Amino acid sequence: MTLSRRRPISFRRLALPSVLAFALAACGGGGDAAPTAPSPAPGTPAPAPSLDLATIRTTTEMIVEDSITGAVVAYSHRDHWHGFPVVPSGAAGLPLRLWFSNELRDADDHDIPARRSWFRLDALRDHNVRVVVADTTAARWEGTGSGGRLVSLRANSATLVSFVIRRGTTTLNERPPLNIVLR
Amino acid sequence: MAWAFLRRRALVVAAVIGGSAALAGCEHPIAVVSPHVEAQDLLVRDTSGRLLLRTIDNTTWSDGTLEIPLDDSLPVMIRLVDFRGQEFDLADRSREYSIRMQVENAAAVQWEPRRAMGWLRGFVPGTTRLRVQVWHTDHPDFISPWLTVTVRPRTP
Repeated sequence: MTLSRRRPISFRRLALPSVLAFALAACGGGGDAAPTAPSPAPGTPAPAPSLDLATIRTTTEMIVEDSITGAVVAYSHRDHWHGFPVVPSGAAGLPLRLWFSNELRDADDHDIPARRSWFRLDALRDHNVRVVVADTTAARWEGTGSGGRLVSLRANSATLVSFVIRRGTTTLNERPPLNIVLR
Repeated sequence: MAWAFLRRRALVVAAVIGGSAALAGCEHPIAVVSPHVEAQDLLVRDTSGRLLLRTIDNTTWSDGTLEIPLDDSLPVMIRLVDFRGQEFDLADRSREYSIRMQVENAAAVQWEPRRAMGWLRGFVPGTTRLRVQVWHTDHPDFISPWLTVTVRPRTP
């Protein structure tokens, strides 16, 4: 009977697979990518966002929609806004609906977040948004976290509006100030 | 002996190829960081490419003021000049860069960037100042001197 001699495992044999395993492990550490919602089939209504998507983060974007026409008048994109509301004179003002989205676009991708990713603050308990008008002699906000109206108090002027999203009294997100034009 | 040597070499080659393939297929390669923007000057062009004004050694502007139409927009392209005098566009580089405008009277002028250009909008007639910042993720790589801008109605 012959006994097979087993050679001890060399360092080099261990080292090479270790390097490969390390490379693969490091590959997974690419940060937390924004969640993506599945694309709805053409012609089907957009599904309600999942609970995971309806979460306020520091990167959550805002979409401001004319609540009568449904037109998007402005949407935030990282450090700036696209568009600006024009508030007509009169007590009716400009009725607006506030939407939020966690679809984080690249700095050079200026498209509006996909509508399937939008959610309202109603979906989140204990959350509220403070709408702060910079010049309170020029305009007034009347509304809640889901919507309301901007009313012009001084025609032919302009001011800024900030949106501060809070859970209770904790600020979760503050978008950059939005220019508004008053007629 | 020779067979063992060849087998060891084959193992090394396989490991190198496998590692390279794993990294190449990786969505987030290790430590890919875009360099800071190194620029000497900044140019403001209209969308036809005509030079509207530029900084001189990034201390002053070639022209004293920029006019923005009231209730309208001025489309501009922001370009940079490197230390060899070569003009370049940030849009051709990393997505980590963006152009910001710091406006003294922020209610009067809005900057809306788009890829390779942007719009300056005037909402309140009068004069204010702005400066251009080249933003690199969480800090500015370049800040221009203050530029006086005048918002006035378009002349027919």
